[in-house]
Amino acid sequence: MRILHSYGKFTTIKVISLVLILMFALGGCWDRNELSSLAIATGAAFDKPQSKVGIDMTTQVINLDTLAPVAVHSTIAAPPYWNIKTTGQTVFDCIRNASQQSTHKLYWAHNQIIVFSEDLARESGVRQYLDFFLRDAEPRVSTWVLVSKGKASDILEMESKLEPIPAVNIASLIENRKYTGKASAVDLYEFSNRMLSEATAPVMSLIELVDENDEKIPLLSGTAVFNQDGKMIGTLNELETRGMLLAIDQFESGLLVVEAPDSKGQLGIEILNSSAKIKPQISDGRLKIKIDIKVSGSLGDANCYVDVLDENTWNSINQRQAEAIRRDILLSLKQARTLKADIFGFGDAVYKKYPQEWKKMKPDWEEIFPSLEVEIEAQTTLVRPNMILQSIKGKKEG
Amino acid sequence: MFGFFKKKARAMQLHNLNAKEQNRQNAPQKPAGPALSANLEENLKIIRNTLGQSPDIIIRKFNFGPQYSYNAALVFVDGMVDKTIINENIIKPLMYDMHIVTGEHKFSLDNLGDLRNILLSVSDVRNITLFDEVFKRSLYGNTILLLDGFAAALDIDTKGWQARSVQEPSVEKVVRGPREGFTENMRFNTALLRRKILNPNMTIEQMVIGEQTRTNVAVAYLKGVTSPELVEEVKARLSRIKTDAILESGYIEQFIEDAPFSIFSTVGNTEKPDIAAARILEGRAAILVDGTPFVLTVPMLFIEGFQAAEDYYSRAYYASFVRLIRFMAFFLSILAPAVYVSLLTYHQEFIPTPLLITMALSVQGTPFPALVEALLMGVMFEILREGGLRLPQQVGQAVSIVGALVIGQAAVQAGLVDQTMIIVIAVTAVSSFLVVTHTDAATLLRFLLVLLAGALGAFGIVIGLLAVLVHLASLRSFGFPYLAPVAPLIIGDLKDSFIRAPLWTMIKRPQLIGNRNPTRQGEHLKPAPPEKN
Repeated sequence: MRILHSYGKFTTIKVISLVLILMFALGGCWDRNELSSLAIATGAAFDKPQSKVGIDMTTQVINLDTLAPVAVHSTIAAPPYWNIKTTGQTVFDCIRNASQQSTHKLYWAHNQIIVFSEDLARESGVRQYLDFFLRDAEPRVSTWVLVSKGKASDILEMESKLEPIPAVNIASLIENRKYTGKASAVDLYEFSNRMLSEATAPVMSLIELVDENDEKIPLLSGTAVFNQDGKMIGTLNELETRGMLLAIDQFESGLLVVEAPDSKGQLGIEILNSSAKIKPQISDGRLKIKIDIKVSGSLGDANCYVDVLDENTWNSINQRQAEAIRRDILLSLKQARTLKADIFGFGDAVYKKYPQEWKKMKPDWEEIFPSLEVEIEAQTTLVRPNMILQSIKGKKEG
Repeated sequence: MFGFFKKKARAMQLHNLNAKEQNRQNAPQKPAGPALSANLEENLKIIRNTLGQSPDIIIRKFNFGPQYSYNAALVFVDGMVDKTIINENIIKPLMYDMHIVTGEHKFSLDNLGDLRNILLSVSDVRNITLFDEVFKRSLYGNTILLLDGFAAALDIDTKGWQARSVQEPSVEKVVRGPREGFTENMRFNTALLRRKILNPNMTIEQMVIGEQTRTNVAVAYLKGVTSPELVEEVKARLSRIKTDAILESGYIEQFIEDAPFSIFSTVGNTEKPDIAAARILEGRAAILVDGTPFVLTVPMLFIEGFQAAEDYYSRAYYASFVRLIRFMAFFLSILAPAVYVSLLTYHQEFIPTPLLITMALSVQGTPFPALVEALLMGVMFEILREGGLRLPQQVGQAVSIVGALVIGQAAVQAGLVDQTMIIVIAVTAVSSFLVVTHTDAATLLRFLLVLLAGALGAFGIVIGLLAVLVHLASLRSFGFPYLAPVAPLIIGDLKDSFIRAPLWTMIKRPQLIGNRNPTRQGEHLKPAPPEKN
């Protein structure tokens, strides 16, 4: 400002006024978008294209007319969403082509899910479809990515209970899977991180539609496994998914059903806390992976008589908890070996700890991984039996 | 931008000063004015000529004394005097009780002082000799007694006009605390102040401002607490005012404020004696103006707008909570519409999805852009507010009902305005009344920020707020930084800023204003139950 002063009496004022005018003239209203002119996209689905080339895309936007508290067209039972089907050369092309059908511009900041049909994921892979969602400013990397067992566009047309918009419904389903741990929750950020990694196999949630009284109800279950090229190569079932989540420390909560100590029934153990660490070790030139996992659970229910005041019973329940966890992890390991897919990120762990050795292993990792020696150390605690100490005892029971 | 105005202002001030200086040099020494003559008829003629034939100017001629040898006249303004005093304490003693004094002796009146000393049973009587004083005093409700043969007159205090009695002020209402408010009568007001501070150091200095209105203005301060420099500065600024009329303290305020181009006021005002007293006790000076219940207090800090009298009368926890609410309300009242506009037009990604859907639902089908809607509703509210304020109470209610129906329901049902905008404007409207002192500044800022938000989004809001902050930090009120105790940061004074600490912790007066006599109270005032043995 001092320098400016020297040029004349009112230079500072002139400069400031100029800046103000330019600020409004050049910057003003630059990316203005009235909310009423936007179509809020909540989901995107990609199916195998009808023609050889190009992309078939379905975009779900919110149809506000039917969402209104006092429905504008109350006589027509229209769904609160509109699925726009477009084709194009690229994803962005599809999205822009939607303007040929929609009066409102698609707005991607609130997109919840991206669904790929299984055949598309297996045949052409998903890599080419993700570029737009990472490159453009509007979509978020926190968008959930899923593979659907049937047609992906059907997912966006399912019967939606409790939550009127299918895409939002699925996003809530993914949030909710933390109570079972039987499906994985992968967002765009994690998926692309796994794609960028040198060894880790990318995964996605797996969803299917089940028929129930002629209604199509979604079922979120298991995991889709991809190879490093972004092509789907297989799936994990529910227990395998849980094993994977436990091993990579993404398990939040879930119910382990174990046999009661005297094999009279089953006990449900709810996992409250779990933490896991993958530790690679090289001894005598041999690579060994150790998975340290610490879990605490509580006795959630029992369908037979169980006396938790008995210390032996309590300890043996705890042991069964540890066994169940080992079993789940081993199941997932077995499936991963079959698929030759490092879903746990062992390779990354080795790279971090032994960067020099990793260089030698890297080219053959696909061969090394299935035969790796893996040791699982599960430390479990059983915290509490919750509100009652003893189950209600039947008259004939001892 | 502000700097530009400031420079202009400075240039204008300099210009005025120069002109004034020249006038002063050119103008001859002001003459003392014509003096009274010894001839009563002549004097009365001059008085009649000057005061004119107004029916409220009463000149009462009468004779008294032995053989009715003394010709006298009373001059007063009807309606401004208490006639009982004139009848009982002036005319009656002169006409009837003269003989008690004189007895059988022949009475000779050597000077007017004898009358004052012996006969007139009125508390405030003084000698005057100039016509100017005759006019000035009689127009202020005094009665002038002229006596033939004397080139002087007696000025007798008979003030007694109809005035509004002390009532609860309508602006600064309290649940707990004194309900009396200042009135239009300055004498009442000084008395109300004195009743709060029964201290011989409580000083009131009076002066007359206004070439035509000759309004009485008083500066009140507490000697030993208020800094003498501040008092000098106040008096200097007051004496600089050379204007026709002072009809309200707002006239004074606009002539003495530090930042005439700022939208923020740098002179405080209050209608309540307890608030004025509290400010004087912190080291401020008060300016009382005859004819208005609004008393000015200087210096004024930004934080004063957030301090209410009741904060100090209720206990500290709730008082502090209400303080924070007031700060929140202030920011809400400037920012709410601007933030809403910027969210609606630029930053839809900031809004959680369910809320966005709700907002989209309410925006759907409305014809105007959010910016136009916000401006429209904002102006509509100001119109209703102004209408409700100025109209008589009964009509005012009708206006507010029409406003509520038109704005609240019809506009939404007709699909002209979105519901959420109505809520935002309503919240803004209510919260702007929590900080009454800054309401006008907040209203202007609100519109400015809405425009900025409409053109530049959140970036514009930030730019606007920064400009305001820089401006506030540069303001001074009678030399005291406007943003104290936040900028400059005075840790001790923060006790009475965003929160109100318990009274027994506030040992010192505000550091900048009260540094003449920094200690307010002793250190060990924290109440405690008696110790057990």
